[in-house]
Amino acid sequence: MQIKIMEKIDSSDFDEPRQVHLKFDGSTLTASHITVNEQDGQVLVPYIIQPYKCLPDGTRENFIDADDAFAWAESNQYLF
Amino acid sequence: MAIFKTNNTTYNISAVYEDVRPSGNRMYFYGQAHKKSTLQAVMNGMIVHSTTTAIGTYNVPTYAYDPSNLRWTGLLLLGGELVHCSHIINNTNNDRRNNIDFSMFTSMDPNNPCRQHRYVADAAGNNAIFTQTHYNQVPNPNPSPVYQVRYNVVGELDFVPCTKFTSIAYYHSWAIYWRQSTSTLIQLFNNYGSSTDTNWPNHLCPGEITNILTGTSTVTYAAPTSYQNVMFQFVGPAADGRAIFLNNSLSNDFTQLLMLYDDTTNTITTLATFNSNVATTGGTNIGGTRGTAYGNTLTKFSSKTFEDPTSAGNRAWYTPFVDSAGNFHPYYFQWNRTTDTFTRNSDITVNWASGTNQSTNWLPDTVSAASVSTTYMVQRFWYNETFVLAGDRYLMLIQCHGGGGIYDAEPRYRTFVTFAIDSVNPKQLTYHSRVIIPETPKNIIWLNDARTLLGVFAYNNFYMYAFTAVNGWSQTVNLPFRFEAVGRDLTGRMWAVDGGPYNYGRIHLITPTTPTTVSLSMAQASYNYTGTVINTTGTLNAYDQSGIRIAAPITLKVEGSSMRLVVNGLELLESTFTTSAATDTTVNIRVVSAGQSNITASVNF
Repeated sequence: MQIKIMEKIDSSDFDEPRQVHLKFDGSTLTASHITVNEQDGQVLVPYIIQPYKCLPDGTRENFIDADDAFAWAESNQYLF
Repeated sequence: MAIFKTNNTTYNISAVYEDVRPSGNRMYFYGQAHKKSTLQAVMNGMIVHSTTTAIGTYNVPTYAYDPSNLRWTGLLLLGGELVHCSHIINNTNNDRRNNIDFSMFTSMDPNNPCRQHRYVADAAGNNAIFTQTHYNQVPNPNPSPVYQVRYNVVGELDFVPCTKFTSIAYYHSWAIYWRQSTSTLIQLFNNYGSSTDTNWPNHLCPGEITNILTGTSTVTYAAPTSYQNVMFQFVGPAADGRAIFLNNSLSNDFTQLLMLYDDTTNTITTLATFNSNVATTGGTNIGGTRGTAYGNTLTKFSSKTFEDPTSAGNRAWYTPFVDSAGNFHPYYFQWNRTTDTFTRNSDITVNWASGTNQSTNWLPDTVSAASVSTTYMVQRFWYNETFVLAGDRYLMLIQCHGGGGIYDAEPRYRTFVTFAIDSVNPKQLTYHSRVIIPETPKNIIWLNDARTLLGVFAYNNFYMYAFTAVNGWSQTVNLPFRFEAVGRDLTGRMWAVDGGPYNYGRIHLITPTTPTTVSLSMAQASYNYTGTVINTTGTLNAYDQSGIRIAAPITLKVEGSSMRLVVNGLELLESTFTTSAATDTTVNIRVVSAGQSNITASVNF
């Protein structure tokens, strides 16, 4: 299992940049928002589960490895 | 059409509330109970929603009542198709008060239409009426929350307080898909910000409401911040029951995403992305981008899904696309129901009638340059929709502007064009017909499930059209009212509400058996009276809003001294005739002197 923190730079005027927690378990990419509360401290809230990468023509491919998964996430930030 | 009830005071309660339970036999008009089946008034029957206030707690808005904005007195809560239409201002571009009620478009699944007022039940026998109300997605002057009302009662609703009332601050939502296996109501949510005039336009995401039937309803949505500057539509359930949404960009015409929403984990999986500009791929579509002349926040609504004629067991739909020459070439999407994979076809051929082209008939709106900071939600849209008549499938292109008046000077902006779809190749479209709406269309509503009966909202009138293979869309009537809402109850009756003489709301009943058009054709266009009585005839017919001839009692009245109606040998100035659904009704008429006379017709209810 590999983890990366993605700094999301939103093109919108209305959002602040925020961090996304990415986890790759060998086949599936999970994206979580990082929240903090007094009781539990840092909490991960999964909101995207992606078992493959989607290509611009509508097709899908399996992730090759964690680097491939994280690179896909970085280049498709509008999905996150 | 009949004016059913006029309201002359402030009721913070909906104009019509339908008991949508299968056993329900109540309709409430400004709170007063009537039998749904017969519309007879019920003695001592009233809906109250709450016992702590006199009437209508749940509908009390947080702002002062404004007669120029009907708000709750203009609200219909019906179980069928329902559209509200704001008329707060007119002929003003780029103003969020023009925003369009797009509830009807949020689902492409004919089996799961969006319903703001619905009956839900689980396998254990729990059931409820669940209502979410908001007024036209117009967050002005203050954000208007979605109000949730729930009834879990047995028996009539008269004087029974609702079992649950909540409001969802800062969110609009559209209830689309009741997932029976998880007892969740899957919705589309719009986050419009936490305070007045905060710029959170077009932020949408799928979500859900749990515990609708029991306990405290809980709202969850898939992403802490929504997807921006897009429109979502529910495509349908995946094979396992999870919800699939189409995410279509407002900023361009070539970015579409298919997203799977899992309500058990509150997560999203992207099933497919189409994010490449359309090259010249075949057909008459030259691809490219339509440019910014058409504005940068154009909402495009896709059609309902239908059985893919080229792939048995799978579904398809059309999504509006305009190429770099400004020509409409919709995408033909195909949905493989086994794998939940999607194909977008852009090699579309559009054939126009000889000597014509698209610009002869239709122009994309180039007058609106709305930006996300001024529209909040949908102010105008393109919408293509498909329907079947006598085994032939058609595709219709609709362009509306919530501002009213904006398109009045250019008839091609307000022209709805219909294409015949090739029965073998759904990527081949041939111009069939067009209809020009007399004034700027603000929104539409389908008045039958087959989508061959259409209502069009405008500022001054509500127009009704029926489709035939021979003539295309033909106007059957225009109702000269500024309707705030039109909808169908679960029996199929059509209701409407406008301001009425006191601006506190007036309910109209539009029934299929009520004539909307009366025709009297004289045997001759003119008569030359030379001192001798002329016996002649007129042909009388009454038609309903579908253009179908019906039997109805019609009173004819002669205004003038030169003409008489002849009934049983008597010369009369006024008489009542009953028309026939099968044949023309002949009226005997006598010209008795020189001069002009008029014959007026009225319907006897």
